[in-house]
Amino acid sequence: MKNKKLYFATFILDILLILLLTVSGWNVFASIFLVEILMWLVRLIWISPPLLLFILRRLGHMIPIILSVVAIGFFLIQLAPGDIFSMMAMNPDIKQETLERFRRAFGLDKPWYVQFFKYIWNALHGDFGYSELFKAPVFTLVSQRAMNTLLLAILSFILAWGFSIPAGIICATNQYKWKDQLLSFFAFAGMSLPNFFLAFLVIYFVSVTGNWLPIGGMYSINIDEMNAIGRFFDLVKHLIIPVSVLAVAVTAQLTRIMRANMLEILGQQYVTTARSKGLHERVVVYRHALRNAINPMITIFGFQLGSLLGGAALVETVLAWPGLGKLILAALLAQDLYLVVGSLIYGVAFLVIGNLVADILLAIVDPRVRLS
Amino acid sequence: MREKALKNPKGITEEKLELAEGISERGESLTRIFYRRFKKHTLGKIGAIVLFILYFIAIFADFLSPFSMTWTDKRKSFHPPTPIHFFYSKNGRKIFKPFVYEMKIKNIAFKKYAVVPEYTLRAISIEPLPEVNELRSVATDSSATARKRRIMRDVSRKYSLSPGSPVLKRLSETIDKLEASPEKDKTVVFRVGEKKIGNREHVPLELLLVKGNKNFLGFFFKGIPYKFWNLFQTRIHFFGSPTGGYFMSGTDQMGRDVLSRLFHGSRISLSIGLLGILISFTLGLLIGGIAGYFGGVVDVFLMRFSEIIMSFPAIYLLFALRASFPPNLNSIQVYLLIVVILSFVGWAGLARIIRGMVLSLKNEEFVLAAKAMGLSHLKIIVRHILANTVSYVIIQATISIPRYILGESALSLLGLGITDPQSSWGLMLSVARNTRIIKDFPWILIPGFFIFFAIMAWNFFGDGIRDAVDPHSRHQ
Repeated sequence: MKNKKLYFATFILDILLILLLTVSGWNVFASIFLVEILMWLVRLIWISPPLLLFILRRLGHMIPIILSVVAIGFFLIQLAPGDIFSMMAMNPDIKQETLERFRRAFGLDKPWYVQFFKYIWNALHGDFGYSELFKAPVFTLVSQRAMNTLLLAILSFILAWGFSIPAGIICATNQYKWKDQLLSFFAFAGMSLPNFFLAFLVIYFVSVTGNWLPIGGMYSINIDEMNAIGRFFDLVKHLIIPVSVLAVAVTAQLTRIMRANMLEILGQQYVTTARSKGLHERVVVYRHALRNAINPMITIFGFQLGSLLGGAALVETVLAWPGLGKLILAALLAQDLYLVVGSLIYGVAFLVIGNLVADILLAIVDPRVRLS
Repeated sequence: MREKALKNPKGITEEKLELAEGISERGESLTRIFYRRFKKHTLGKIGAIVLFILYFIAIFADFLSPFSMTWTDKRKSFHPPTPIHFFYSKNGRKIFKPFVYEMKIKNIAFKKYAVVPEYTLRAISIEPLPEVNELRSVATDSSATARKRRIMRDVSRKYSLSPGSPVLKRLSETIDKLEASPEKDKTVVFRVGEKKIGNREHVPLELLLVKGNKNFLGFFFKGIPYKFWNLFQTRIHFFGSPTGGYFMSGTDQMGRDVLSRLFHGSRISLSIGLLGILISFTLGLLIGGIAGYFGGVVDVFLMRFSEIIMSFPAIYLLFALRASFPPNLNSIQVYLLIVVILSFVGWAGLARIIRGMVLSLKNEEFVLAAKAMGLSHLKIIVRHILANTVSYVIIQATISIPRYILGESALSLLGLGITDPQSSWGLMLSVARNTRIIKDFPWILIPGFFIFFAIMAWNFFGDGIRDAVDPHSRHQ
């Protein structure tokens, strides 16, 4: 490794940057998160230059997609009749001139392509517009909601992977026996159960058995009176239903995929070789088969992120979870232009970065994959 | 001569011999092979049967439902499902005669229902025209004169009869006779008069006078009128009670029969998948075919476009597309709009895969031959190249239908899709977004089970189709 000293110097830079951001008023966790991502990207110069190149190329690929997302957002809102001030126009107390002034201040008096370039220009300066609906800057609003959705998504992914990999292994090692039949049946049922309907069923179950879990929302009403530990447990309680509802469909799908992968790998010749060497069955399954069976699962991770985000939008609306999906629905119904575009960008960025993460993970796990 | 005898020792024709050895020259047709393989797939068969039942219900929804889609009784909001009693005791003997008890709201705030008393008198008039509200007068007063007064008042109001009219006099006599009769439960048909409807001169106006608190059930009963397939008018329903009051799965917030709306809603919910697949696969096949066949700038442009669509989370794009159209469309426009939106979101993935297949197919010799014969590009793409992707397309089509069913119910659930008075499974579930309603009136969740069964059946069926069409594929 060349320039080893410089490499270690980056760690000091880490701490300095985090301190700087925290002092300048950022959230501690957010600044750590941001700085670490940035610095590990920098450190890739030493660790694996091709990976860095790959990441940079993929991020560069994102730019035209984000631009077209913004353009599509503008175009679609333009197609819809009326705008965010249409409701106000029905109010007889508000004068026409006031309305015109509002529209001008919001930039709605110009054609959509002018608004589009102005938006891009402002966005490059870190200004993503102002939401009329929530009376807040779009960037802070969307970031906060996106974090809530991300929390849901990550937790349900962890839950789903934690369940489905063992379940898939059990299915594959007991093919066509009762364990396999039972788990496969549940997987089929879980795949077919719409998550919003599952949310309704869970709400019914919980409310009939005496409301032992909060059904909906993210915080209790008395959140301000709680200390840090109380708040944490409150959040955990509120997370249980949405996370498990979201995880069901993902678990079901992953179990079926894992089962199929395992079955295919267990039929390979090197597994037979391993068995004929006299290795213990456990070693064959977990050391030889499992590690190869997991690779396709990582590829699917990227795809599943998209469907999870979509599912989350419905579950958020049903369970009143303040996430990105609920936000975009409210924004669309109120025709809050900048909020719509802001949440669309976030959603698309999630998806693209999720795919990127899946590719990187695959490259790390499977040495046969070349980044190109 | 000798050779022939050897080959054909017992006079069996060559063809039969070959068949016996399993090497028939004729061969099975592709569909027969698919069918033979499909029959071995148990889950696939179950799926096919369930789908057959569901689509049968959708087709004959008018006839199978005990009420119509829009039938409303405002006094029966959130009526619970009525349990069927099979045995009716007559003169101390129990006979098989299924019935349900007539119920009336007892607590309006909590929507609690109770069975009406045994001495109740009811008058039910069914209008001979569809979509016209009928009279359902229920007199639960304990004194016979009060009951009679109430019924008379309601009937005269309904038909705008003057107090001294001979019809009312006849009605009064009939009620007296009915009340005096020793039978506990009795129904008599009272003829109010005649009416001229359209080109039919003498349509009888009839009134059902019901004594007692029971509604007897039967097959092929005469209920509220409807137009079967919009072709002819009839009053015959499959199963239910001519005197109403029978709600197998309760009623919704507006007092509409959940079962009837479920059956009618299945038309929209189940057909959207088929129609959506038709449009999105046509789009996907054509775009993928063109991109792969022509290559170059066309390919780059089309594939970038599909990439952009795929980089949206599907639901977000659905929301955005729906919101960009005016909200106050009529029901047919909304239905078509949803189909188009769902198809627009769905074609991209297919187009990319088809493009890949076309790229590998287009250098085959049969394509060269087609070119040499001077066929047009479109003909080559459709008849020669895309024809080779058929098995893949069949499989993909069956396993993507659940996505369309889900998409429609999600949109309708959030109020962006089908709207009242039309009915769809997602729309019916949208009432459940209120937590208290789920707890108190759980029967409104029934449409969710139908979504579940429909999707499950399509999944099973798709699995069977895949095994039949492409037996070597990996089973995921």
